[in-house]
Amino acid sequence: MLDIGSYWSKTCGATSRRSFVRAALTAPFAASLANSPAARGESPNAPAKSILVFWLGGGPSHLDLFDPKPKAPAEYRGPFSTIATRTPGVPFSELLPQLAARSDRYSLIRTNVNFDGDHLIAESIGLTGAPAGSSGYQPNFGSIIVKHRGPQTMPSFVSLARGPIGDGRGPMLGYGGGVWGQAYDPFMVSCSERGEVEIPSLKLFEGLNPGRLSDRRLVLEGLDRARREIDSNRFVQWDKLNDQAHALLTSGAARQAFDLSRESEATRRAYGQTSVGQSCLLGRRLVEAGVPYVQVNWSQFVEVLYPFSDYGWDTHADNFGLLADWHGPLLDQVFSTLLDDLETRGLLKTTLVLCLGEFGRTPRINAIGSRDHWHQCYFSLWAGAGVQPGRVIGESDPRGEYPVTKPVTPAMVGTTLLEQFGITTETRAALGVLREGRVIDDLF
Amino acid sequence: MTCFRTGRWPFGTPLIAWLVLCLGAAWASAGEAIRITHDGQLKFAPVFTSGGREVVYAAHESANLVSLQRLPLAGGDHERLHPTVVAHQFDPAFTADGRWHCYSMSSGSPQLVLVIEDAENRKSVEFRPRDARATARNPSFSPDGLRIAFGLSDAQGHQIATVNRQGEDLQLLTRSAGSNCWPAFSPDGQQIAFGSSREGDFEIYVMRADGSEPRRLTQSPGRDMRPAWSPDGKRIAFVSVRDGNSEIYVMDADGANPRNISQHPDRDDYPAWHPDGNRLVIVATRDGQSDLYLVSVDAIRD
Repeated sequence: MLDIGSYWSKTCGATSRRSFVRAALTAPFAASLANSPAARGESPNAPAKSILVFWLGGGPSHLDLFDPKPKAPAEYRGPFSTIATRTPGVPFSELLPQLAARSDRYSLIRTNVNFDGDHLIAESIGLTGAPAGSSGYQPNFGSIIVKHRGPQTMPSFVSLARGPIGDGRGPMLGYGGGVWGQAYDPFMVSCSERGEVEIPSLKLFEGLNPGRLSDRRLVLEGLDRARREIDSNRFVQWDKLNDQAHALLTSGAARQAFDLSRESEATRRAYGQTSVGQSCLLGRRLVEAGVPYVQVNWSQFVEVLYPFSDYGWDTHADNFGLLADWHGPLLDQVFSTLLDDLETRGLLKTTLVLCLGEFGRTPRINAIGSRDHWHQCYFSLWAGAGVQPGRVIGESDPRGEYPVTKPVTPAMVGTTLLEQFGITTETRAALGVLREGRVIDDLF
Repeated sequence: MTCFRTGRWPFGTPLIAWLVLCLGAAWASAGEAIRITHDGQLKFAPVFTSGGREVVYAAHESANLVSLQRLPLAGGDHERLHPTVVAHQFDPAFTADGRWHCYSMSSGSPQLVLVIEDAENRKSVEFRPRDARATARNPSFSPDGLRIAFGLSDAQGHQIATVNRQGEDLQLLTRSAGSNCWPAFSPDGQQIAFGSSREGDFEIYVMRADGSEPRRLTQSPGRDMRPAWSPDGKRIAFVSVRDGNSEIYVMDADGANPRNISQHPDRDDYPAWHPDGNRLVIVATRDGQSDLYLVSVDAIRD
């Protein structure tokens, strides 16, 4: 960790409040000369320049959102009605009127499957494509892009969350570099409901604001102070890291990308004054600034069952009440706004958007009137970068328990993301990742 | 159609505040709505207290903290109802005299427990459901303040239950399929309105206060939920999505004459009656912002 600087930024309410910018002095952020997609072994005609994953950690209920079963027995179907969507013959839950009105802008997969019903394991599989091997988890899809692209001024993999992704038992191990090591971890960023950005992996010193980040003397003072701390921690790669940090922090694009006060008030309001809403806006800004892989986590944004923890959509109790009050309306507002915003700005053509969790929830309602974990069948939403919108891919059985058509595995999800980004079969093989993955052809 | 004003609610000197209150009442009486919060934070379940001079509601104070806030209508900023908050607090309910109040609170199991507080003696008790993951939500005091009805998601499914002010003497009022939620005592204490999915989607029902003679009041596509009795007991406000999005409706107490009083393409939710019976406080989402509004129901009276 290195103390780099801090700055003040305007908040949603037009008041100033300290926000922190912390620059991670790790390999993903090293400054380097730009290189071409071809030079990196990417397909130059790849449709996706960026990937934005909206991660619904905790396990959102597929039956109560995008795969309702109104004709199922009462102990399965739940209390919510269905509403028509822009896709003929495809109803959604009544909790999602805005997304129903936009169903012609994205495609829905109803046959995602995972291989474990435990959050930490399923999330890791869902974001790496495979169960853990003897030496640990494979790298996160975003980490593959980090390694493939090599050092960049802007981080190649940004994860927006309030703290480490995980639950009360510990971290989710598939969040980053995995067997490749921490050098390929994401650049972690936190965003408050007022749009204040905090980057916990870096430390700061007082008095450095965006306008002064270009003041080399100030930056070097901060770096020097941080060096003393790092030396005390036996961290020896100082000279190299010094250059990397300075390159990041003096990049105008980097500074501006993290500054939500540069957005119009109307745009910031449209995303809603919630952390998850503002994080999605920040995700869009990062995509706009050229960050190739952004993961926005539902993490700790909507949490009433478990104070100060990170279970997100894990609605073992009061699933229907919580979805009606919190999760449903918020997902409907935020994801709809994100799609609108990306489309309005022309970013949807080159941004592959994916929204999913690690699993769904039990189709059969449990003894206390709620739903538990269910990894045998769940949903994902796909948009942009060549995805044919308005499609419904796959079909679950009449109770939503199992796919009746071809299941979509986490490896297929990862393979599709990387393939659209231009990381081809050959490149994946060279990197030793997702060897058995197949592209979800029905999306294109 | 109700047009929601979006101008700021001006706070200031007592005189200005008094004028604002009068103007606000006049606007609301004219069939329009006035916005009474402006921070845009997610809000839930407002209720009037102190004879209608204050509103208490739940708000996402920060990303991982939901707390109860009290807002004086005559002026001043909102503040925490409980200065020290150690867990999420929401779904507030008050006795008519304001001495007792009750709310749902998150607990470690994870559970949602009911907390019942006696403001006069500064004491509180908890009703804790039996199942480790059970929840108690949406409490409503009986008019005499002696019992609390609430939605209990526990071993018997999702039912309406009551306890006394000590959080004891649990009695289940429903034993039906589906989810039974949002109980609301009638002003005379003889009946309880509630929402239930026992016959499919959520509809509004009413039953006697002992749980007998349940009757269905609404028959509409989409969910009808969160019933609230008017102070005179003649009408019930509720939320319905029958017109395609979440709107505030008011119907006669027997279910007749449902009328949409919000009529806005954005979300309107959580109606609660002012003691004067002429206004509701609701949570409305406008331009992405979640705020409290006063809505007049005077204009729709016969």
